[in-house]
Formats: sequence, structure tokens, C-alpha cells
Amino acid sequence: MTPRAAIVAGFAAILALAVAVDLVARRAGSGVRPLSAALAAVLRSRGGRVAVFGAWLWLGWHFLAR
Amino acid sequence: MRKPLRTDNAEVDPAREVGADGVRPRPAWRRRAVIVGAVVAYALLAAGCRPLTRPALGAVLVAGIPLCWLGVRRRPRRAPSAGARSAAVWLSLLGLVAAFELGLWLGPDDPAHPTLSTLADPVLSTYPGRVLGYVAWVGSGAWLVSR
Repeated sequence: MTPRAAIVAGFAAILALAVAVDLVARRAGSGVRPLSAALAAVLRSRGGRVAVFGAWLWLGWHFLAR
Repeated sequence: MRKPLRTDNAEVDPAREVGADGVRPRPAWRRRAVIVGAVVAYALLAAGCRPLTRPALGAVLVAGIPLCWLGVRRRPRRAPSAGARSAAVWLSLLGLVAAFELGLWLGPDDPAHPTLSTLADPVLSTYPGRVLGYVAWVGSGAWLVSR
């Protein structure tokens, strides 16, 4: 396996893990909340909103404009 | 047989109610359709700007700054606390992505060791790919503002 293929597989594995955690979190009785609910909880505070929107703006700049 | 008197407003369509200012609020589906249409129209226009150019920077800022301003200023909806377990799980995943990406960024700078943005470049160098990228980015921003 080339280093590039291993890196792609690494990113794919992290994405698959995140999707799996979110699906498990949506099951009744789960102690973990889904990503959308966790984000909504972060957005309750002004500091959380600044951090989340700052990260969102940086992602747009980094991937689409830089 | 007499009909029972209606004592609640359960069957009243909220879209037909008139506000104190005499203006009827838009139904949720129509508001959602307007937002989706605006996001797609913006993405179709913004994707015409190639990355690494000033127009692309302008396209990101023209949507990004107003949405950030709205999102930070808006009074947040009531949402239950995520709990320590959820925070630990999601922050661990975020840390894993950040560590992986940082390791690649600090490592050899060649095509054999691409970062996430380097992997995305071939997709984002095409117009359809950029349309999808802008839809995903602005759509997620609109969703965050609505929370």
C-alpha cells in the first residue's frame, strides 16, 4: 500500500467512525448525543457560537478560497 | 345534534394567522424553499470563481461574514446540555482528525503525503465540484444559524 493510499484510507476510516458514532447515538437509550445535538448544545453559549462560526468561516476560506 | 364548541386553536393553520403588524408569516416549507433556492443560486454564482483568486475570496466573505454575524448575534435556541460523555466522544474524534491532518501538514510536502485540502483540490478545481462545495459550506452555515 502506498503512503497516499494509506492516508486516504485513514481519512475514510475517521469519516466512517464519525458516521458510526452518530448512528449509534441516534438509537434510543444511547448515552452519547448525535453530532447535530452536540453542536446545538455548543451553540447555547456566546463563546461556543464564536468558536463554531469561526471554524466554519475558516473551513470555507481554506477549501474554497485560499 | 349540536357540534361541540371549539375551545382550542388546534386546527388553526399558523400560516393563516396574522401577526400584530398585520403581516402573515411565511409557512415553514416556503421559508425553507427560499433558503434552499438562495443557497443553490449563491453556489452556482460563487463556483464561477476559481480558487486562489480574489473573486473566490470575495465569494466566501460575502456569504461568510453576514452568516457569522447573524449566527453570533442571534439568541440561541434552548437546547439540552450534551453531557460529558458526548463531549468526550465528539472532542476525541475532532482531536483525531486534527492530529492526523497536523501530522500530514508537518510531514513531507509531496503528492505522496496529501493533506485533506490537497485531496479535495482535484474535485474543487472543477465547476460542479465547487458548486457542491459551496452548497455544503453555505448550507451548513445556514443550518448553524438556525440552531
